[in-house]
Amino acid sequence: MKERLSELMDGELDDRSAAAVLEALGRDREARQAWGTYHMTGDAMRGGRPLSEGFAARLSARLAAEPTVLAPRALPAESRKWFALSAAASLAAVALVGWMAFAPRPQVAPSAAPVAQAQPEAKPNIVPLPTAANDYLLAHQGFSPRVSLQGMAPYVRTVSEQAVEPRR
Amino acid sequence: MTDREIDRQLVARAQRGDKQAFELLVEKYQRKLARLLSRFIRDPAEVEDVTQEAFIKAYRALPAFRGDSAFYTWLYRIGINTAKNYLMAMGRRAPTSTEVEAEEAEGFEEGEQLRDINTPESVLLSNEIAETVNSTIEGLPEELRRAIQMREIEGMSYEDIAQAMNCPIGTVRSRIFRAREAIAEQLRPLLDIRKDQRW
Repeated sequence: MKERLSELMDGELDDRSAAAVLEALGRDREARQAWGTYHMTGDAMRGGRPLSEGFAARLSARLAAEPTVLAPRALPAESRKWFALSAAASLAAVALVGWMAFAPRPQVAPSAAPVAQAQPEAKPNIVPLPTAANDYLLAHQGFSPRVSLQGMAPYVRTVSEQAVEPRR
Repeated sequence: MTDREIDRQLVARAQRGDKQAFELLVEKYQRKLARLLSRFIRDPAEVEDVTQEAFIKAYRALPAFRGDSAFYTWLYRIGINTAKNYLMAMGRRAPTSTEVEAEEAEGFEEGEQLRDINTPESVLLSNEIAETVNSTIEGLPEELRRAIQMREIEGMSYEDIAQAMNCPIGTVRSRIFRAREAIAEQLRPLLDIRKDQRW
């Protein structure tokens, strides 16, 4: 066990063996003492000075008095990736709908004399369209310029034109 | 498994309520952290108190540790902040010349000498340990001594040591372990005697 521990400390064990040694450290008191002594030896060889033995005992007592920490288990990396992707997709969908709903509509260019122009429009000069034009408009209404989300407006106009025709 | 991964595994165990796993991290880093804090605080008793406080703070903050940085880098920052808070509470100020940026944490030089802040008896005891380690190493067979020095001082991998010593990796593994055990055998009586004595 201690030889494996020595290897573990040097980063020379594969993940599976290392996990087994770490697990065993929890049960093996002698191995835990070796862990401390080996680390102390390394520190001493590198010129470090150990702390007092009382230090370890005091800190151990303080840790024992601390409430045990329990951290929430972290999501696996794969789950986190999918969570992030779905969150990003949701945000993108919300942004798209928001943009469609609140995007600035095309505006008529401001006129230099709006009041003067308003007068002639009071009596619009309605030019009756021939029936053939209605069919043409109906067939090509998909190409007509219009702002999105106008709902039934283009159809309503076309249908009302059709309703007028039979009376003529 | 790398050193950082070992720490991560121990942290994960501690986060699941295994205090013993955290104590293994304390065993590993207590001297390194104390040496760092001795740059800020002169009194040896205070250095130990602040080191303890830093470990307790780290333990309490464990749920927040996500492993984005190495454990020691994280502990290092806690240690520095604890020392600064301590000095401020005592009406003192950490000298800016000794401030060390957190980025240096990973490369903190093991070889840096701890300021000689110990009491006469602790110096004596410290010297006794150092002498024991040194004399044991000197008394080791050449191949064991070279192997443990290349590993602990040079930080070489088993593969590199095997190439340097022209022997199989298994032999390197065995030599390093035997050297460690030989030193530990000489240290154990001293460590038993030293209980509650300060360095």
